Amino acid sequence: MEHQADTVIGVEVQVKGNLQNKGSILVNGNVEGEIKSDENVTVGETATVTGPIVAKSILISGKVNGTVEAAEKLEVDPTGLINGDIKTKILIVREGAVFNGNSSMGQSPKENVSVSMPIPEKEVKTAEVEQKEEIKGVAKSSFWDKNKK
Amino acid sequence: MYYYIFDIKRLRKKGQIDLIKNQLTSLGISGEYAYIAPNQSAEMLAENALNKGYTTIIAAGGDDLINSVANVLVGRREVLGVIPLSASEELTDLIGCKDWQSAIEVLRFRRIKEMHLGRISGSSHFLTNLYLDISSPIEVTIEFKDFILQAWAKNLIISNYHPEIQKKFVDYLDVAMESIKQKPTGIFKRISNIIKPSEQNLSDNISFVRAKSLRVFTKTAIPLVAGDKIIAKTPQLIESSDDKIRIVVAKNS
Repeated sequence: MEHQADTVIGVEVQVKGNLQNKGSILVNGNVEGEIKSDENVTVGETATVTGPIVAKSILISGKVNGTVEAAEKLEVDPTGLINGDIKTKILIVREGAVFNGNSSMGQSPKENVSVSMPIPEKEVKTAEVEQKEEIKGVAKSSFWDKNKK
Repeated sequence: MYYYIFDIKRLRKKGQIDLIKNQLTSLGISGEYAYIAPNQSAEMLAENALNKGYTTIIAAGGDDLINSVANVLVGRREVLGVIPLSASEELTDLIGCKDWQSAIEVLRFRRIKEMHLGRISGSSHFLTNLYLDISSPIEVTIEFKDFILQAWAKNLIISNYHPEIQKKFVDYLDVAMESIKQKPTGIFKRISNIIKPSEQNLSDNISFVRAKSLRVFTKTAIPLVAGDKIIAKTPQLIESSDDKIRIVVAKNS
């Protein structure tokens, strides 16, 4: 995911301290500290973040050692790795991504956007009902057989 | 009303100064003319103009002259006018005039814009950009309010105004740095770089931060350049000035 960011940390750039921004943040380097934004945070493939990340939506393509909290959406790319707990409303983890931690997502399953297909309930038949149905079937066939003659 | 300070070293042709004066007269905006000399700096001439009661001081020259006059006028009601003579593209873009002829037309209409300046160590100011004067990559540490950034920098620009940077906050400086991978220290690292060249995307090497103030540190003192002039050396505190300057600009600026 490429987008214009208000703050950009380039590859091989070391940052120590807290990156706090009202705008979006793109990290391609190494950050030790907290990253906080009112908008998007992107951790690029070459990035390593050691510390918590808090933002509106977060895309992880690199390595994060710390908690990740997205108010709206958290995406983890195939190259992404999270060692820490996550909290988000919407979670997308792509094949190949690595996540080691606990996840917290909303209060009820309906609040999470995920695949949910309603499964039709199978009718549960008791043995007695099945026997009665079998008798009815036999009775019907013998009646016709008799009347055909 | 108008006080003109000329840097005649910036004139490209003989007789250009007469052409300028004739156009000023024809538009009814001529005034007193002064010239920078070894014993008369731009700041001295600007102070002289203020003492005489002039309300518009025009710097006719390059970025160094314009920054020097801006130094004196920042925080004041008096207005800075610009006639660019071999000035940078950033400066001509700021005032909205590519040449001296259109700049003189703009002076006549006197459309004034207020803007913050960049300030170095509380004293020198710059209107547009400050560059770290480096010919080869160096290790740079930049201290911002909440974090420290370290990298091997190939280019570093601290911008108060740049036509290619969208200014989000008028009282913030835009800091852009092009960095490289850390210099290899041993022979084996140098060999590995030849065998396995970096596949780094060049655009990933760019860092960009907006800040009200920053401190720049380097291992040895490196010049900081505004226009063509070295105005300071690292380490330095660089910040957006609290005071503003009033500057004449074109309609679309």
